[in-house]
Amino acid sequence: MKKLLIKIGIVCVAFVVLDLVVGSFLLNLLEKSPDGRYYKTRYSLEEAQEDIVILGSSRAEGNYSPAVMEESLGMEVWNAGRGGQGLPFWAAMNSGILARYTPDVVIINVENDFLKESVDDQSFERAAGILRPFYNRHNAVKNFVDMVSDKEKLLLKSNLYAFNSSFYYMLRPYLFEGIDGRVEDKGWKPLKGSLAGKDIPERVINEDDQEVLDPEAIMMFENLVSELQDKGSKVVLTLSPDYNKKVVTTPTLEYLKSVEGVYVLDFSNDEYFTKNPEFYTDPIHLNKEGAMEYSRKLAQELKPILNGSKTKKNLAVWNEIR
Amino acid sequence: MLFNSLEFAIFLPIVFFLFWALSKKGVTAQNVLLLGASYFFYGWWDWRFLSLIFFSSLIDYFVGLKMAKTDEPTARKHLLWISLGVNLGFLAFFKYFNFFMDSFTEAFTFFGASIPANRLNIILPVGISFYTFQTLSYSIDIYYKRLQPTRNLLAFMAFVSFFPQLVAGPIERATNLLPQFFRERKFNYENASQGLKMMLWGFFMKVAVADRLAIYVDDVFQSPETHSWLTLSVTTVFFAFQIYGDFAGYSLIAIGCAKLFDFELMTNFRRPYFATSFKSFWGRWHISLSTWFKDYVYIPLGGSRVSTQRSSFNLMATFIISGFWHGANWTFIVWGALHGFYQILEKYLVKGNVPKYLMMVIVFALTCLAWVFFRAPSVTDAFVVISRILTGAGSGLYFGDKGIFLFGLIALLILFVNDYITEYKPDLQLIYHPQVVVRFSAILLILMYITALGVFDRSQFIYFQF
Repeated sequence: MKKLLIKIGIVCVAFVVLDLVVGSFLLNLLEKSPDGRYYKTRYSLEEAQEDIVILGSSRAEGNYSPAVMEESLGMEVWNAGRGGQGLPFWAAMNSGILARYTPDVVIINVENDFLKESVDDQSFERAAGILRPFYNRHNAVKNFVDMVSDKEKLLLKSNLYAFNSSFYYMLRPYLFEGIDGRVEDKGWKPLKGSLAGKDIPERVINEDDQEVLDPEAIMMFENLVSELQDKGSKVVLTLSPDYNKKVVTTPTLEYLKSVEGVYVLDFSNDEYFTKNPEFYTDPIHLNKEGAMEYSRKLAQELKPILNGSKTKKNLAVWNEIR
Repeated sequence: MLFNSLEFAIFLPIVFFLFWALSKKGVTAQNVLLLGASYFFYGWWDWRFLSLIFFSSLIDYFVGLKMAKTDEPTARKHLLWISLGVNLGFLAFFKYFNFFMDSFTEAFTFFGASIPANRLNIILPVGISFYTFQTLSYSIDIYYKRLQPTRNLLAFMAFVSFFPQLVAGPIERATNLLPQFFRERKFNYENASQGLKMMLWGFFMKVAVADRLAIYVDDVFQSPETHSWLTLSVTTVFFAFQIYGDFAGYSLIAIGCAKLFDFELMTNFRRPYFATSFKSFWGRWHISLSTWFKDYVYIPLGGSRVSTQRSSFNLMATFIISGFWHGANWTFIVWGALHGFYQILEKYLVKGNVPKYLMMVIVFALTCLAWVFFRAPSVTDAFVVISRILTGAGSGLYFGDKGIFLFGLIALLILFVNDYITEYKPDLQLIYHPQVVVRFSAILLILMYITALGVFDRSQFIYFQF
């Protein structure tokens, strides 16, 4: 028995040492990441000072060009959107950013059904996959990752586990510069391709069953918004256009009408975009040209909000104005 | 309680130290501990179902004693029927009731009549298929006078509920495991060390291979009709390794864990994808179950010592029942029937006229084809996958998240290379290498790989549902 315990002890000590060494090496790689998703997350959490921050999923990451918006607004813009992520990631990033500074405006790109999707374990796990390396550096991240499961606190004693499964996306920017977005694009990841010549039938979205909204998603969203409002940031919810899609109403949109103190800019029925296949890489993502045009138009809509000539409106009032 | 859970990481060392601390108090004290620990292990999931194990154990214990007291064939047969009735009754109710009701309703609908569906909201007790088969083998062996019943109720109950193999096997025979509850256990460094190494590799197979591949497989199987033949082929191969990693990984952890307590469980997997025939595949895959079906279904049906047609029927029947054991769904029945069909075909067509390496590829390909039925939610879905593969539908390879795909592939290759070495060059196995530095480095590397690339959020083992 003694022999077994000694050998287990040796293996444990060696593992702890290696864990420290390899963990430090990986942390170094993370900090020096030339671009890509870990650079972007680190920058958002630790360096960003921009006046306007954009949150959201792949449609935020690909549809909003900070350079175009900066040119039009004369303000600094940072796109913190991340593909494949939902409310849990936005909420964690938002808390992490607010812990350090308060942006003037936070734009959240939402979908017309985003409160319908349940905030399940997988969406938490997806978010934790990116945030774990920052666990010990940011309380906001720590509080969030601890919610993923009761194992996390213990597992994250390991420096190696903090990088669990992140190697591919962490190493990729070292091998292929700009593959996950270039630094000068300030978080924007422009997409290539076009839908020109492709036959995509029109989709009409008209749902009115309020029952389908997820209470946990609503709670998380409301917390996110109130956290921003408490700090004094203006909250702008944007709905990007989809190709050949018309949105009459959805439970999420109906709910958003009741949210006070936020600006809603809804482009989902803007036919300048929804009917132009040249602007899309696929039916739900704008390509580079479409994103630049969309950013230009968005910036125009943002001006009255920024100069205070537009008072805070909820969606119902905003739609009447439009 | 799951092997890959925090609770088990606390539970196992406590039971281990208590067990060896009790070694001077004798076998009975250790059996009391094992029984208590096993019931705690199972009750952690749902304590209400402990009553099933308890009742099943009591019935088989008393049936065994009664059977040994009489030579009267009718009385013995009645006693056997009691054991079969209780154990298979539990299985039929908890596992198959809704399946039979659905099939019954569908059959009426097919013939134009409509009857209301009477489904029950039943929870399937974890591991019920495993421990009922284990206790059944005890009664059947006593019936055939291959085994003397035990009078020691404590040892018998500890045998039925032995926590390392309680919920997903290996399905032990009383002739092998029960005597181990009577002999003195001696702590042996080599044994314990080997047990820990087996557990380590088992965890690798589970969290680094199976759970990693599962993310991609689940993604593709959500909408197989939208994927190309190439994607579906890759997914099918991935699933073959996912289920192997999941189940063989669990078995290794179970066997290794038992070794820590000086118990020897039977080998359950022996590198099945290196099989060069279907007969050999079933001598390598889920060995404890395939030998169970051979001993208690195939041979009692007449085995191969009957006419050609009858022997083929026996094979087909055994595999269909085996498929049905896996789950209450037509997909499992088709999976079993396919394997029965493969065996029959092999028996009459392949007479050593096909090169071994070609046979290995054929066996793997056809096994993968059968796995499609095992994985698909319905027979219709399985046909969608197979028809798209066979007709070359669609083009391109879907990667999903490239990181997940890449590390799934790497883990699969590591498992394959390890199996190759174990099969053909066993001296090169790194964690059993004669040089301590190599062994030590290999163990550290596996630990680091699991920590860095294991999936820790997909905790359920596939075979728990059976």
